[in-house]
Amino acid sequence: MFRRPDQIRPVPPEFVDRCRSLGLQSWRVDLNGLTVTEPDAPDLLALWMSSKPMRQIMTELASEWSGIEELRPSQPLPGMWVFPFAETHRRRRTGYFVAIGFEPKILESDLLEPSCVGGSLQLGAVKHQLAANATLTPQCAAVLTETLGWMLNDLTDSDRSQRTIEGFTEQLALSYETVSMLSDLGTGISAMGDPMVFVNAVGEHVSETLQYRWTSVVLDGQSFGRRAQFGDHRLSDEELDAVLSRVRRDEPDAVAGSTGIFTIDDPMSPLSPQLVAHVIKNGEHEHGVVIAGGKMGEDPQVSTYETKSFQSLTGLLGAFLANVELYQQQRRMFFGTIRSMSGALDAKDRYTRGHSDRVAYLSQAIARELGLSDREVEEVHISGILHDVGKIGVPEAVLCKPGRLTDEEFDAIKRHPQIGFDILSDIPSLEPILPGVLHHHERYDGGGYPSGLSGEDIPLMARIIGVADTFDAMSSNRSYRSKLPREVVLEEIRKCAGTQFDPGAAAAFLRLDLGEYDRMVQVAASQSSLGKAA
Amino acid sequence: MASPLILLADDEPHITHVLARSLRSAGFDVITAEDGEEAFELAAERIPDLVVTDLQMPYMSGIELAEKLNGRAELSGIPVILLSARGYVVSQNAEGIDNIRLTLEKPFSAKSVIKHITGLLDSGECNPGDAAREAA
Ligand SMILES: [Fe+2]
Repeated sequence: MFRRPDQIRPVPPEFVDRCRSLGLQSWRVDLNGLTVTEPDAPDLLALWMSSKPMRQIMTELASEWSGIEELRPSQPLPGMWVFPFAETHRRRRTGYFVAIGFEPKILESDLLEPSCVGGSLQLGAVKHQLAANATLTPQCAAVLTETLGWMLNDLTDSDRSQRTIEGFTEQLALSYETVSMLSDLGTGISAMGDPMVFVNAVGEHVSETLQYRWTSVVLDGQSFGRRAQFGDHRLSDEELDAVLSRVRRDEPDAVAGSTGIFTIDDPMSPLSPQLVAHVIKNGEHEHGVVIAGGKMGEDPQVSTYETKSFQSLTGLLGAFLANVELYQQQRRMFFGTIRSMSGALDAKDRYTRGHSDRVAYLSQAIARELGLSDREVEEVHISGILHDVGKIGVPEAVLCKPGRLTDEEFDAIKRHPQIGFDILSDIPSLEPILPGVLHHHERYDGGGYPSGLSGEDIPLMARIIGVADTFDAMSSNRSYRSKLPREVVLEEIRKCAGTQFDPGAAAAFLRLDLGEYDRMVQVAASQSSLGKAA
Repeated sequence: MASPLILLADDEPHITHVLARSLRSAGFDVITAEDGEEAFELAAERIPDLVVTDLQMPYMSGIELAEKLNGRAELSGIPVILLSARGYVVSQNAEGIDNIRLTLEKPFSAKSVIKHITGLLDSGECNPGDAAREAA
């Protein structure tokens, strides 16, 4: 997973600080005693320690330490104490951390003068600084050996623990990402009305959480037939075709579970070094493919962490798409059923041909204009299709009677909302649309039927259908009159807002563009003349 | 019979931490190494009943470790479980090394590792470690 480039782990920096506060200088050298980090000491002292004779001492000491497990402090010059510690990386010795302390007698050393001359240092100044830093006594040198050893052990342990914690933290962060990804997708998986919402969520998670420069979800079949791309990079249609044909035609260079791994030879390609492809499956049925390339981050090779995440994502996607297909099938069947019910009605009364569809269309348009949710709009639509289905139970002679109806006949007509309600109330999935069927002849002022409800007591769905129903009735020919001109009808709607109609629903209706409605009228008219000719 | 001894080798200390903790609470004795070389030295010295090793480690990979164990008579019977973050690399390279009994892909659940270890030790004709340690 997140393997960092190997780096030498020096003695923890805190150790350098502690040496300094104990009045010790420090120096990091390699296995041959050559400087890795310049001595940590006051400036002039540091320069003096870097002088040739002093460096010579360090290389000699390093060769003494080589091969020795337990390093002991030594006194290469009278008054100069050297406390060596091996630096290791992955159990291999890589060099030495050296703490250096001085006793006052260092000032009498013969080496002082030549070392200063070689480095063009002023002997007096060096002596002055050495004197200020020569704080060691032989007794405390002995104690220091032990103390420094313990200190270094403790610090190294704590450094190691720190790194372990970092590993855990990284792992934990990754788990959080995965959990939040799954919970995000969990919420999207129920939105089957618009499957691309979920498909897009999957694509975005692949490129963001799994860190791919480019991701594509390509869906086959009539229901979907789409390709979407995610990430920082986009392929042209031709480039995507090329990638697709390689993934579908060629043998993968490696296979991990259900993941095909394809090597990209061109290191400059934004998709390098590897393309990973996952077929979206549900059982044996294939829905498409998810492809990703251009892995970013510290490790560009595909890991099992990713292929596992990928597999669960494409698995979810496959199950989701299968559900969407079932859902769409069911919806088609459902609409087929309710259309055939309203078709039965159309067959009975040629004057109302297409009426149900047009009322349904206008009702859903008003509902949308009123800002109802997608689900509510759909319920209004279905209720519109079925609003007059109860007329099936009204004698044909009454329905199609030209001229005035007797009171009895009118009562028979007024029963159609209740009859429709009774017919449909046996179908559980239609329950939400029943209020529209039962109450579409109520009036806002309370003068309608069957219940005489008024104002907001009338279900909104019914108030909406009431406007659409009246508009379409006035706009078409009836057995007892010809259709009215558009201006007259609109004026009527405007005038009756607040008495017959819900003012809000009426206002929303008056804002609609009726172009699509007029097309529907024309289509119905041409079908009915064809019917007559036949 | 003493608790089975499991050698864990992984250069990522958090992985050995998690596994060692779970294995110990499941009643195993556990020793750990942070690279393949240390793992081999420890295996030769302690003769574990089973080795769980990472694939990618410094100095000696998990596969090289398995090969080296396989090459030493007293260690060749120790079953090896490989942990890998690159499943497809293992399948290409581990063929023919018959002490590698199983490859588990990271991330794994400690529970499933324990289940596999128990299964391997139970199906084993004997505790290879026990026998070898007695002989030693
Ligand atoms: Fe009606």
